[in-house]
Amino acid sequence: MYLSNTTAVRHDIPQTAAPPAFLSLVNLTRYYDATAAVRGLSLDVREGEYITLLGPSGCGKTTTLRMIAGFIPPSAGQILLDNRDIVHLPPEKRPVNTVFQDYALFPHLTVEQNVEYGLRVRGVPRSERRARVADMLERVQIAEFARRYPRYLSGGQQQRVALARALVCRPRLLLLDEPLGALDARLREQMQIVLKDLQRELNIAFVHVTHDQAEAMALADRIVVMRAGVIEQVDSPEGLYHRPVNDFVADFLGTTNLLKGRCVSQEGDIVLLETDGLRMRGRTHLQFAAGETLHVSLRPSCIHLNSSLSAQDNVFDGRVEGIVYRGENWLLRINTGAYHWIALTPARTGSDAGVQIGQNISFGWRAEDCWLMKAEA
Amino acid sequence: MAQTILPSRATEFHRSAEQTQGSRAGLIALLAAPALFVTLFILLPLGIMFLYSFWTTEGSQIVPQWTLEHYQAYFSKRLFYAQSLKSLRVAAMVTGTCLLLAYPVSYFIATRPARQRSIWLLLTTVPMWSSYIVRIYAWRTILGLDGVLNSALLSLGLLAEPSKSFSFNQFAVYITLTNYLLPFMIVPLVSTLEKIPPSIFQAARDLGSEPLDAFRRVLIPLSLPGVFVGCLNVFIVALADYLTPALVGGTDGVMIGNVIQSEFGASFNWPLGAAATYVTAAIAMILILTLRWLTHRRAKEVKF
Repeated sequence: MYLSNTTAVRHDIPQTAAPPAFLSLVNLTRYYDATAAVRGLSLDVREGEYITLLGPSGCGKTTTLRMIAGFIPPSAGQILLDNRDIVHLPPEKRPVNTVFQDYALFPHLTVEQNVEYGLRVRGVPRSERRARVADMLERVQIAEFARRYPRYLSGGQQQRVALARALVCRPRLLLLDEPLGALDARLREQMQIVLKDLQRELNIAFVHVTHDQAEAMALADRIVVMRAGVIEQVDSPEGLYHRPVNDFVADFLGTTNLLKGRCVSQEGDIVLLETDGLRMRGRTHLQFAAGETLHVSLRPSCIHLNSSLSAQDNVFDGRVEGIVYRGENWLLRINTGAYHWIALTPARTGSDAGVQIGQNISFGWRAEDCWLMKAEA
Repeated sequence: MAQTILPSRATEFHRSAEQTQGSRAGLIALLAAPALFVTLFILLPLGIMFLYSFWTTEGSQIVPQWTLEHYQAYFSKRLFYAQSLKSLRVAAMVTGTCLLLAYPVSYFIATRPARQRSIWLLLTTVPMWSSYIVRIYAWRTILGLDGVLNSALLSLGLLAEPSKSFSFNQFAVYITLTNYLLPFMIVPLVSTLEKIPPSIFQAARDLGSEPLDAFRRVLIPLSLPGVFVGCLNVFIVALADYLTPALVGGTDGVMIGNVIQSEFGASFNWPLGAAATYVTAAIAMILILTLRWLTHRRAKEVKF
């Protein structure tokens, strides 16, 4: 029986359609001297799933990855693969392969020999080795560099070799440690597509460590947000973006308007609240008592200007204080006295933002877009 | 193939030298002093010795009368060629032993955190703070008939009477040279091993290599340039050394260095000594070039 992950995560997409978990981290803990890098971390990884571990540096995401790979022994906890604890297995005995942050290609071997390494070590027959290496080089589009040495390749090409070298071993799970960190923005986007396509084609579970929320959102089926060695939240990118559990997650997942307020009354999942003299409605899945402090997260793209405000639940007047053109949209700063709001409005060809700096406008948002969270101590 | 993509290091250096110095003249002026030094104190004496090896002695004079007799003498007299072969063998054994001893030590040092690393390296050079001769005499007191080793074995009851087999023979030369030359192997090995990122070894493990297999397939090939430099250091010094065999070698431990020294000294046959020097050097050079070829076949590609 697989461990239920309701204990491990606070909010999760429904389990019904999800494939079964094959790898479970149970209360995984790692101390360095007296400080805990990872504390009581529990997580299930399902077959063929793309998970990203997201968090600021020092949050324990790389330590977690290295414990799964077998490079760091956990201080406590279990790593269950098909319900068998693999904590005591050395890296070479785990059906897991890693793409290292610095790629760690073998400089004395050609691209082909690098990719062949895992198969050669495991004694795969020569003909099968050749076929699998050729197939994998083709998949990551580096077949033409097969005879080159790593030092003559660009960063992106080296990245592909590292990927091919790990995937050719057909691991149950591929671990990626900040794999795109050293690439420039354009290349990073290309590699994201390569990664996602490969993962779907090969149907191998990926666990990918990153501190880049855009990367995590672009790739992941589920994102694990970590802070100070513990999991803050596990959810789909949409779930995390629009339904964060606290202001840390809300803020880490992208620009948001964060406010502190007090509950006035609650009716179902809609709460009437008060913040700095403004009354507004927001949505929650929690129960708040009247007078209880709560946090509000409102994504800039949920704010609408002038036009179709009539049916909306929260409408305020403010002054436009800043306009920034960002290609796809305009970023506006709106002052309502107590607070500066960040709003995004789509940019269309041949038109301007529709407002000027200094202009007084009315703006607002629907109650269901305004997400309420528990205020933490 | 590769060179067409990347400019070679030489051209890069050349270009930057031109840009910063403005002209070739500056570069030449800069190199003049070391070039003069090398010519005067290394090339010239070596050249003179090379000439001497083809000249003859008349009484106490060396006269420019061309002959190959010294080379013939070298190859026909057992004293010479057998001595050279024995010296090469001893030097090779010393080099091999140093490599085997130094590798684990160097690996240990190279994998320490940076600050500890320099302390460990410093410790390996501590023996070099005392004079070479003092250390040879130290080995004499250890290995001698009433030395530390014999006394220890006697008091443990392992020997009935002091053994003569520890000193004044090849064994004593081998032990003393190994001890003396070990740091010369460790230093280049550490500097090669510390440049190999730890992730390379982890990648090998990750891909299915057990520690020893990862060592064999990855670490050893990547450390070959350091192995070469270390072996070169040790081999050359061991081969040319004549102090150790003179002081702890006895008749059994005589090396080619002592033979050559006696030709330049007591026997006063400089041309023969010079010929012996050049033949031994030529054999050593062939061995070194072979070793270099073995260790540097792929060195061009290896860069982290």
